Amino acid sequence: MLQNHTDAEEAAQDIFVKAYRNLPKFKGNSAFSTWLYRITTNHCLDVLRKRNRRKTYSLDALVEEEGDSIHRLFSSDAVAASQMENRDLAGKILSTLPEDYRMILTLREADGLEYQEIAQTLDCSLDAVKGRLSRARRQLQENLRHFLREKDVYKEE
Amino acid sequence: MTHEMIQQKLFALYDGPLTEQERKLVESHLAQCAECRRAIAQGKAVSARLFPVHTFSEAAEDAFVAKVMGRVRSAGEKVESWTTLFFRWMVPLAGSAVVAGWVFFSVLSDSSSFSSTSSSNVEAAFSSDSSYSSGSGNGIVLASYSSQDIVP
Repeated sequence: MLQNHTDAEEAAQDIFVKAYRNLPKFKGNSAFSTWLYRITTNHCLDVLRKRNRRKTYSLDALVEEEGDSIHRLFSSDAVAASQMENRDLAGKILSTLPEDYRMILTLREADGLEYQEIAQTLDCSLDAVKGRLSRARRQLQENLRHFLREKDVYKEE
Repeated sequence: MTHEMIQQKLFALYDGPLTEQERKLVESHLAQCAECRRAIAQGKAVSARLFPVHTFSEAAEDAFVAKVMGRVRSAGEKVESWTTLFFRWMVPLAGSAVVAGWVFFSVLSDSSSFSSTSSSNVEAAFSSDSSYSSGSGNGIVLASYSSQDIVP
């Protein structure tokens, strides 16, 4: 969500400290995990808004700068880069998406939340979750279409 | 169900929230449609590359917990120091202010009645005060009054 490991770890610390301070405000109206995810999403959005004034990646700029690395990432026969490098590259690829797409993909794909949990976390309807998730996936695949070679994709199966 | 409608539900199949009937429909469509199979395969490939399951070493987890707990403790100490400061200084100050206010207003209300009374009445009123001298002026009377009759 935050593109790189260092920022993510710092944000994770901030979120736990924030949750600790706000613990008396938790009334049990939702699951504790949903409450914590809500704090997390709000905090990440704050960080992203501040950072947007700093650096974002357009798709073209990212392809120009990291095209070879992205090819390697999606190539099944290439030597795998370190986990940290891949993580940072994945963050850059996701940063080409709008914030709300990035957020919903992270909640679903990285955190494994069910649609209902996502709806509670983002305070929106179930239909909104389905629609946004579908659009986010389509756009991500569209952005990466030149890197998704058939022979590599089908090896995933 | 049309191809477009199936496409809308493709990832719902992948995510799991389809009814049994919908799941069978999508699966039977997938068996015949290469385009939808490609879309699913691409989705899985993207997901596997961009959202791999992260594993953290026990040492990294311990270090993270230590950092968070350190920040929580230091935040707690800050709060505690303010609390300590409050009880150490603000409560006694507030208490003194109340006592001073009570003394001040008691004196004021009594001194206004005092000014309306004749000096002989004052002398009568303070005749029980052994330190009071009948020859003293009003200031001395007030001082004597406040120091011995008000303050316990």
